[in-house]
Amino acid sequence: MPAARFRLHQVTIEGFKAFTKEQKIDLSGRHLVIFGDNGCGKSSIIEAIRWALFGLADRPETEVRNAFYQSGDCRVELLLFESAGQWRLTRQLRPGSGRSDLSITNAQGKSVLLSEAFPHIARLGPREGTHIIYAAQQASGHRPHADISDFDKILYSYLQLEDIPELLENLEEILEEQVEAEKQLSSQINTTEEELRRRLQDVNARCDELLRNPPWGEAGVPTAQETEERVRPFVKELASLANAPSPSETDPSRLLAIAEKWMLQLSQSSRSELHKKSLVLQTKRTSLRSMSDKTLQTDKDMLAAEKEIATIDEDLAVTLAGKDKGNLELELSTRKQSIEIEGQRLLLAREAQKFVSTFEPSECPICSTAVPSGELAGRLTDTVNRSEALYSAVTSEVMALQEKYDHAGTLEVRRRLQVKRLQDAQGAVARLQSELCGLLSKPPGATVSDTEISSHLDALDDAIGGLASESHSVDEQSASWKRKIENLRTELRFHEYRKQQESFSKRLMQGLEPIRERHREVVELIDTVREIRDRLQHTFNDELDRTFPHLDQMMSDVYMRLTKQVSFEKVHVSREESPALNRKLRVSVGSSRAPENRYSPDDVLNGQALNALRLVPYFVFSHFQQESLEFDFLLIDDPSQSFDTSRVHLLLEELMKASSHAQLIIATHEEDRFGPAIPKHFGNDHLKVLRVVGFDPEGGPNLVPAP
Amino acid sequence: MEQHQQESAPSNPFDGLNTKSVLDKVPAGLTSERSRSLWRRVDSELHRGGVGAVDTYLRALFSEVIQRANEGISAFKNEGT
Repeated sequence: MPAARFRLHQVTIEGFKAFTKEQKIDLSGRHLVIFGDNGCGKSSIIEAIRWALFGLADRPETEVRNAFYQSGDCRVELLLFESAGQWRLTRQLRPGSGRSDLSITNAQGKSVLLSEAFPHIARLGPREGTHIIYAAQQASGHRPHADISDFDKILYSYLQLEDIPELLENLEEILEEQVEAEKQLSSQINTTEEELRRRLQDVNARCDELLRNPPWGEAGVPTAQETEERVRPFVKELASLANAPSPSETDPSRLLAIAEKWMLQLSQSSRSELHKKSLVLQTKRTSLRSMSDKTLQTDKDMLAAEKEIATIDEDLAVTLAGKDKGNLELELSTRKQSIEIEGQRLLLAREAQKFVSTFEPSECPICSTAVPSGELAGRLTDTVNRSEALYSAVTSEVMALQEKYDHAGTLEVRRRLQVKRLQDAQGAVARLQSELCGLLSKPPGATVSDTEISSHLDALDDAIGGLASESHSVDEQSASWKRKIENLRTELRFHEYRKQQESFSKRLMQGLEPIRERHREVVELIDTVREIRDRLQHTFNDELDRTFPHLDQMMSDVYMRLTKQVSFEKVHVSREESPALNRKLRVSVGSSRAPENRYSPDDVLNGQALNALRLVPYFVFSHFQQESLEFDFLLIDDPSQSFDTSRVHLLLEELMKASSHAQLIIATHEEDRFGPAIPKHFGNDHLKVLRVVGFDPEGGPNLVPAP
Repeated sequence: MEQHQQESAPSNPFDGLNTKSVLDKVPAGLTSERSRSLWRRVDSELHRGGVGAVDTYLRALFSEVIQRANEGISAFKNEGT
């Protein structure tokens, strides 16, 4: 059996756990046994070796620093010897630092990384206590780089099968991913097919809809060529009407678009021209009507004025009674003077009457003629009466004359107004006639009669009506072209639908086949990988199943030797049945007394037995290591934690077997039991024995060589 | 060193069992030439570069066939537009 390449020659510890100042422990490649009471620092040596190689990945490293040695280093140095020389491995936790640093110097004094020096370093065992630390050589195996904590990895590693579960897991992962990818692919193909079917249904529906009312009516369904042959001459005809060159375009749909443009232009231009013409005629008609109306109104005004003048003249003649207004004015003036004279006379007569009545004179006061006063008064009364009558008659006459005079004046004013009105109307007639001559293109000075106007208006109505009819014809023509364009378009659409129907059907029948073929390739590849995975799993299971009886026997033997279990002395390894865990192994314990019952170790074993069980694979397989190791350390801290120490010689025999390949480092407080037996099993030449004889919190453990 | 180091190593009852022995038995159980052919390639990749190489090879293989199918779908869709 090949020995490990490295042996541990010296351990230097400073400021680590129980240690304060630097202490060196020389092993010189031998096994190391440390005796001492509990709590005196033995375990610190075991833990120092482990810490130097692994550190504390899962806990704060500051907890390894000695609380009484804060100012100094926390450092563990391992000297490893190989044939080429000495390697120095130093782990150091600097003051104030939370993480340790590891440095390795090889035999040539060159620094190397742990991952380069020992890439396959591994550790078995519980967190505390007994540990197995080994490192496989770089060139062989694929041992886990991390702490081995479950049986699957341990057993697969020892059985050199670790590639198989990894490969199976990888195949599983690939299959899961590719099955998902295949589902997506399949879904994509289905979606594409459904989309195409939907489009085909859509075009079928459109085609059916079109055929319910086809533009070709009762005639047979035209071919695409026939439709195109109808499009070209129609477009040519419109091109000619639009004075446009025949288009060079060959696509019938585009030709129809061009034709539609021309059709719209033609219709619009014709409508615009007709509208303009109609507008001119309507304006002329409106003007003519307006002038005619004005002429009629003016004629009426003239007649009314003339009639009014005649009436006024008659009234004047009656009023003036053959005189003129000047005579009447003179007569009125004369009469007014008479009124004044008669008024004076009346006033004088009344004054005389008042005098006579008051003074009753006997003679006339004017001519002094003697007259009896009674007679005088009578005469005066007659005079006053006559004078009043005369005055009244003259006044009436003047009033009548004044009335006539005023009426004649009013009539004259009215007459002047009517004459003015007549003159205005005559002027207006002349102007209207002149405008009418202009409008109807007659020589200036000519007379336009009402009949002529009426005749012209009729002619204009006819012309406007004709234009409206022409515009209607243009609309009808446009509508007819539009219908034709729409029908031709519908025909083209029909041919397009037919083309699409053929294309979609062909693509559904033939186009998808290459894609389906490629999809089948994916499915077949998945099936092939699945078959390989299944076959590999099956073969792997068969091999494991064949291995288990031997494995159970060997593990049970070692387990029994280590623990002396009486209740559960059988160890069983089996495969987990659950498909999700089909690469997991289950370790159970049982008893020959009830072979059909198996139990989970966690449920039935105590801590010591459980710790021992974790180490069983090492003791089973380390004998059969087919590869040499870089190093192989078996660190046992207080054997009673992991093993039954009631029969020391049995445990030591087991350890002796292990020592054939491993370097043992054992710390125990049971010196009375191990002390006498150890030299017998290992021989003093291969053993270094130390004793911790005291412990000082400031000085650390006091280590002395045992005699 | 100790007397046990001078002794011959005990015989290993699992001597015939290892990854290779399991892998060698796989092709006999495969049903088609296609599976056997793929297995030969997987086995070869495993020997060449471990599980990582198998992973790379199989993923590339799947990637190629799936890409071909996707290209077919894209071409089919483009043809229809």
